[in-house]
Amino acid sequence: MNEPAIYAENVKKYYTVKLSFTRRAELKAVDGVSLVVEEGESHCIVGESGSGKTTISKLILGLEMPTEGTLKFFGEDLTEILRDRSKLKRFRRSIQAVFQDPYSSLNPRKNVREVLEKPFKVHKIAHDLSTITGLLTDVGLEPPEEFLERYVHQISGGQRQRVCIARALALKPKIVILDEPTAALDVTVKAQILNLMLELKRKYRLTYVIISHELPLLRGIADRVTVMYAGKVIEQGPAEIIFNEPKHPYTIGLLESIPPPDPRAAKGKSLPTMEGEPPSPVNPPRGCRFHTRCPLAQDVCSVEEPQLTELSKDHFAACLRLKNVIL
Amino acid sequence: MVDEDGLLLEVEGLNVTYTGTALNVDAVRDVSLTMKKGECVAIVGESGSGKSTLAMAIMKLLPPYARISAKKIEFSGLNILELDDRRLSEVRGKDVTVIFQDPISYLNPIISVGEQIMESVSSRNSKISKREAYAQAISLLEKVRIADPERILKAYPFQLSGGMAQRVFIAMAISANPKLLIADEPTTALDLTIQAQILRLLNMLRKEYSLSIMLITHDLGLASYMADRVYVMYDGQVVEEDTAEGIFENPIHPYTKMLITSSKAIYQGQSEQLIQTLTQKTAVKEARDVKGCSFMDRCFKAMEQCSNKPTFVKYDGTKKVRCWLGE
Repeated sequence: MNEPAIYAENVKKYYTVKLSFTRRAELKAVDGVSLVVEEGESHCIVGESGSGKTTISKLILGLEMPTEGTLKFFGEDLTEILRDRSKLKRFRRSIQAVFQDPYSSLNPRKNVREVLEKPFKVHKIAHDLSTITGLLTDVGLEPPEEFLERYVHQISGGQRQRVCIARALALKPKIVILDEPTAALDVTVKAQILNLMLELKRKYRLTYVIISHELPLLRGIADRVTVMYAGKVIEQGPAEIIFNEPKHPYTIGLLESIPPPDPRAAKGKSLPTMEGEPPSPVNPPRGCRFHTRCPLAQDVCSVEEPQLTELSKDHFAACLRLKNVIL
Repeated sequence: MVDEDGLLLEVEGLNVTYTGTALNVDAVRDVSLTMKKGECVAIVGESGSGKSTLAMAIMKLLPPYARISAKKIEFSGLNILELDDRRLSEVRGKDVTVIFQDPISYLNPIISVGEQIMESVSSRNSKISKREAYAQAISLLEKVRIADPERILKAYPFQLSGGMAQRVFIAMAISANPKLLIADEPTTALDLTIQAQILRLLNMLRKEYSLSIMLITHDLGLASYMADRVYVMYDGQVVEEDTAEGIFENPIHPYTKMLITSSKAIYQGQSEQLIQTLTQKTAVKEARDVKGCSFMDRCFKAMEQCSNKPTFVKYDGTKKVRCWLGE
């Protein structure tokens, strides 16, 4: 069997934060997350602000070291990769990222051609103009000559995101991390970028890790979904199961929380009643971390912490109701 | 007169031009719009379509370099075009209030939330005592479903989460019992579960106060959930206007169709179908061609006629459309 593209086991990332001059506290951004991303798959990590989804993406990119746990890329341990310079360089080539705000992730003093040449220069790889125009064509910026000499402020938001994607693809990576890639875009552009992502995934045989807070909008692109809440995984499984038969009350609520673009269905739709806000990762609630907002919570939920249970093949959820502890 | 037939707002032939040293930008062009009492009207469009400028222009809330001209702006029997600044500022804080996308940046960072709410309460009633103002502030926060109003009143804006700040902002907005609430992308910056809470709150306040809401959004799901009627804007013009059902079930303008298809495709996850309906043109934005229809270069139904400007015509009972297809 092939080694998975990304293998994470019980990964934790704690930060120390200052509460006052003398008091320190531990912020458990990621608190024991396991996930497996198979090669060629789109793995979506979903959660609200403070759920730890962006910290996970930093860990996967090797930008942060986990406090605890194992992270492997194609079977190779992250700590070993980081120890060996040549391995590290290869690792950096094979894993690339696209971020939410294409404006701040592009250098305003460089034009599109310079932006796209940079990765080749850093990694000392031969390239010519046709390599660059080829990339622009691949991301739908046509005719490419029109764009080569333009600066970031001269192109639209959607076009900027395309440039970011082209830059990520320049070195033919195996894994691309997309952190809220469409959150800042208009709906028609959003649709185009999602579509482009699907096309490029096929063409370049990519593995995607997509970080997002908009679970309902990932239906078309996800193969596997990990739902996070306050640093923990609360549900994980194949996309068809997560979208069609979600089991955790939080996942169910998330899927219901966007009104559909159709007045007859949306009017009078009862939006889910999850009151309150996501808990602070410095001081998460005891028991189930979701119990403070869960519409189905019972007394036991504030005492016992639910563990991930396998409900069907590869489908896990952490809720006491599913373990028959309570109905 | 405006009041008798239940009309709250009537705008006719509104133009807004941002004047600059190098060039002038026509942000809003020849827009006419009406709102009945108690109605929720959504203005949808992509960034740069002029939807926010339109809403702010109605109350002349634009910087001095914006040139506003209109045949008529009548709000609740008042001719806004002829009001002097003093009268206008009375209307603004009292009859018309606005909530924005990022409430935290509209709150004063160095004054406590309580003082700011009390200020907005006493600015409308100078005789009110400090104790009464405090009591009102508490009851306002209760109305926007804040569980522990005393604590929030003592807090400073940076201590509030996005959802909490939006609630505080809504509390200030409804403190004067306004006739019209302009909500400019009120939930864009929020997590999905918090967005659902704010939407439910707005819907509830609408009933409780028979509030008229002008919702500015790029999210067709929100428009479906809230709006009775929808105006679709593109490039500074209204291209289609109808009841919410009419817009979604029988869109005529190709841009409206494109918006709806993209939203539905993303919502239902039909990524594969996306590409067929969308023109993948991402032409570099050049100076606007003022001769023909401004949507022509992105339109998949563009024809010869489109090099002449289409006019805004009545299509059927409730629908008006600016497209040769609607003639």
